[in-house]
Amino acid sequence: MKAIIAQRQVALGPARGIQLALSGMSYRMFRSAVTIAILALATAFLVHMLVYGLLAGQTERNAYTELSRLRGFGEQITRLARADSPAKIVSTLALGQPARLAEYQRWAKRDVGEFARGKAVAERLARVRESLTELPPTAQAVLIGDLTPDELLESLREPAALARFNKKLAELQLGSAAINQPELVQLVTSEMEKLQQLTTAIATGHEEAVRGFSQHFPNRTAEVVAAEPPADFGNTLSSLGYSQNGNLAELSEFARNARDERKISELLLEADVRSSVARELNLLPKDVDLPTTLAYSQDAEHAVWLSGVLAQVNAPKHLNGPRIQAIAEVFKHRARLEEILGDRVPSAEGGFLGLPERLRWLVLLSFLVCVVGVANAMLMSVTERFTEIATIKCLGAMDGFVMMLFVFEAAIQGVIGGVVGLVLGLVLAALRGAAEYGGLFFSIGGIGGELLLGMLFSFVVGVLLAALAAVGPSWVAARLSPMEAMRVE
Amino acid sequence: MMPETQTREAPKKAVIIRTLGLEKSYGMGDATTYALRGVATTIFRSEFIAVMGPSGSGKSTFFNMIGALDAPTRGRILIDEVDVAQLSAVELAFLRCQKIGYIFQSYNLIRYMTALENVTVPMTFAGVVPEEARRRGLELLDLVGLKDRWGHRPIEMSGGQQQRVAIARSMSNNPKILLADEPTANLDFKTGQDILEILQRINRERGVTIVCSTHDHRLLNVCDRIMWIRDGLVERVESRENIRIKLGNIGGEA
Repeated sequence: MKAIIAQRQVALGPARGIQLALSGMSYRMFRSAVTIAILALATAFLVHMLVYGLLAGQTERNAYTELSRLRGFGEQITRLARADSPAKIVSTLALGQPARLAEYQRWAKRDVGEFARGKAVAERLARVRESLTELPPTAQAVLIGDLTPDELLESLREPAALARFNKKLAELQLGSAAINQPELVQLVTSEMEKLQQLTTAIATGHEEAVRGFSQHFPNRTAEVVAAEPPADFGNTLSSLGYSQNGNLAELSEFARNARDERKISELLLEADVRSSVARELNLLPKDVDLPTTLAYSQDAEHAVWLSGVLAQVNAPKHLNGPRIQAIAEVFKHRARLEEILGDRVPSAEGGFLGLPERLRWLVLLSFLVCVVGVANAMLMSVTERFTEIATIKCLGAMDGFVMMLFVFEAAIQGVIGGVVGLVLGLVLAALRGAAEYGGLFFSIGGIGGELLLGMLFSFVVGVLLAALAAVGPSWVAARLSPMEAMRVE
Repeated sequence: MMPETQTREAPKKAVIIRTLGLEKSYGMGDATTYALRGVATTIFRSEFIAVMGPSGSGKSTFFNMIGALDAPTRGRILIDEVDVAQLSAVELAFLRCQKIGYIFQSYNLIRYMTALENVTVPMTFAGVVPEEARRRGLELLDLVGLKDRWGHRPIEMSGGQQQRVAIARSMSNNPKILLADEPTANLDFKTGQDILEILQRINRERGVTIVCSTHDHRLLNVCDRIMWIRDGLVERVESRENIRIKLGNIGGEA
């Protein structure tokens, strides 16, 4: 028997493969277009989810940071004018911002160890309170009744009440995870007493500081003082025990805005002003308020008009057109930040690309949808070419060649679909973000790298998806014997 | 093993295809149906043999077997003295590419390629450089009379022209065997005649062995021998000269 001398086939080069795939695709333009469209949609969805999620998270974090800063200024000014309430002191102790704690320690005039112990009690109190509010409703009804958690804890300082509480707690059989009973007992029997002493000391110290401030700057409110700070403003604050976080210039700018907003709302109470604003805005006089008036005065012309109206009732000289416009701008910005954030506190970054859990599930789900869609498209495009596969196998093509042909085609479709999807997804994310957050959405500073990573990820997923989805069907097709493949129609 | 079917005046010619007890069955157990029930035949180098038989006789199955497109259930096929069953995937691909040319009833051209590209596809597999492939492709298109239509796609050509391109493609690596499965079945009288003439020319001028299954009686004019297949068995094999004599005797059944 004669041996056959077979030389190995030349491998299909990338250039030739791409050329073959492109000519095949251009012939089946419609089918390719549908496949590319599916891929593009899949990629667009992924890109959109990732980019929008990242940018929205970043926007909320930015808004939170800025709002916290503004609220901090407001609280600082309030602390200049009024001493903190005991409840406020306890919660501040538990939260433990360093600057606040330093102030408290100076006002309490206690040594470091004692202060730290007091702080630990405040933290424990916060923990117990939280565990009380998280109890199941029936247990809450039995244990707390109509009281607030604070009132309950206060009442438990009586031994008889504590005994009743312990009995009820034992009957409920909640288990030790729900409430740390020893901690609670220790808290109400001895520790709350000490905490109260510390709180009182802090409050007294704070009151002294407030008194000192008003003596140093008599006949002026803290807001007015902060708005136009005298030369010794900073030194006075330090000597009274206040911490200075943030710089004083920003504080006084905040105070100026707050003062002017307050002034304008006071002036809006004047009947003359109110009626002319109502006429101009086509509103009922009772509906005229600061937000609507300032929203109206955002452009120069209306701001000048408002300053004219205010001037009739002896408004301060500095409330001219440009100033009103600036106030309106700041006011609008802050309203926007509050609207974005609502009552939420943005979650910290973590996990894949800093996406929140819910979003991660959505991304996974959309990913699965993509896989199914693309696999189906590829399966169709392979099965409808069985005859072609059989023919080129008759002409001497190896299995590998047939597979390469399809994988090349799929990869090209993946690249085109990926690029289209990338653009589409970005546009979608930008449009949605602009609709929801306005200009604030596009502050991509700090997460540029993650954005790029997210886009790259979606693109690579699109291409890989197409190539992988083509491997299965074309593997089956390539391994069929030529006549079998030709019989499948 | 069944005895080999030999024609009476079998000369000492070289054998190119030999089958021994070829069987092909589909299904299993009681449901087994036999397409071939032990075909033993010999095809000689450079002859033009016609395979005739009614539909369902196992003709196409026989074709797929000797074309190494399908594996037999039992029996052996020797192509150019090589046992097909023992070839690896690479060697099978080499065999299909270099030694055998296929012509199908439905042309099976690749739809998105031009005539020239279709003709040069097998050359790509054989590793012929593109310039050489182009030169030889044009030469082959010239052979089938379609040189000036090299840039046309199958959809722009008539059935006869497509079949001529398919013939040119089957010849692209100078195979020793051409297998034509009802090449004229889809064509009208005149075009079918052209195709048969081209096949005859290839057989006479290039010495290519042609195995051609058909219902077309005109083939009797061009072939050397005729093989009848019926119910999965070779009914008889005759030379053309003998057929002429017997034609009257069998009452035009042919």
